[in-house]
Amino acid sequence: MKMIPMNNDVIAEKVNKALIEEFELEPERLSPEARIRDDLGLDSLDIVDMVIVLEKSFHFKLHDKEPLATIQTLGDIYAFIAVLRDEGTIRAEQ
Amino acid sequence: MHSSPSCVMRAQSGQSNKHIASSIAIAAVFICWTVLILPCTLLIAVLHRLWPRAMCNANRKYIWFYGYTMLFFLRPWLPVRMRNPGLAVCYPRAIIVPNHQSFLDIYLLGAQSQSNVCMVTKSWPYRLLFFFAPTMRSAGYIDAESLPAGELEELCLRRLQEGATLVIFPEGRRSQDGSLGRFHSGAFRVAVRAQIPVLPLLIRNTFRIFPPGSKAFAPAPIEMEFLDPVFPRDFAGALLPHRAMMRHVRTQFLQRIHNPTPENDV
Repeated sequence: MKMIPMNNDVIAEKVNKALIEEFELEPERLSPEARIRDDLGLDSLDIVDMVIVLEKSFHFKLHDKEPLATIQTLGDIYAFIAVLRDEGTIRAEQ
Repeated sequence: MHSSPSCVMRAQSGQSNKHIASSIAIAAVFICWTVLILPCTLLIAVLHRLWPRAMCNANRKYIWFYGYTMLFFLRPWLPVRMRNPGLAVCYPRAIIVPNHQSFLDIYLLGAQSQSNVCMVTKSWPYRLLFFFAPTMRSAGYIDAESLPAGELEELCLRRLQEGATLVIFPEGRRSQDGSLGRFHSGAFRVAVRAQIPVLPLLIRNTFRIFPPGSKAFAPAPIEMEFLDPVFPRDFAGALLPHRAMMRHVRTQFLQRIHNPTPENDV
């Protein structure tokens, strides 16, 4: 199986795709500055679901939920996934 | 053939006067019936302090009766046509999910036959309808804004165990432009956890009658119908079954809104 390095654009694309499919968000609203609660209208239950969707999309399991408390914008999610990639939790796109 | 501008203005003025007269009549019915029934409302709140468990179901049925009778008195201005009103009686352990266009929608639950209904509401009805708040509390109505999500879910499950049919407006707030808003997943999460059906309740015309911020009623018939029940088992294979269920119900609403019920089917 070919392994494709996951650069930041790929991360953003995958996060956006997951959010569009599961939360029916309009693609034009998905900018890195978009605030998850205020701009995208996601509530606390949606955020719980979002974690599950991201775990499935990026094949990881988030045991420590604490870092999620700092996430405010869509850009924060991209950065969070990038950190997981840099730590080796997410290795590559299969 | 075109009407002259003066004819159009006269017609608009006549329509406006009619709306003002109707609004006064509707407001009078609301106030008079609520005041007349107020001693009974307060008595029930007092009785609930003596026999809290026994009075809970009675309170819920009383509030339903208040809505039912209100609709009866408002019939000359706001006639309600309800298709399959008994569906929630066939599925008493269920969650009714109505679309939300106006404050009238709360009263419209009196048009369907299930009387043991427990509403999950925002905080404002407890503040604004302060005279009714003790009865709402003693009926076990749930203030969704006063609890964290986990506790709210547990309380909803407890009400279902007590035999109540839950009512949750999945849009969470009244529509600001008459269109169907984005759904919140709470109702569907509870349905999946309890493995009970969701009963979508479509309400038509209440936005036109009394949109948010309006000061006058525009009398018109109200149409309501239960759409097909939706069962959690049909979404068991999904990654997030409650979200799949929610999307399905929203699609059901949209399809029905764009394909109105034929007149003779009501």
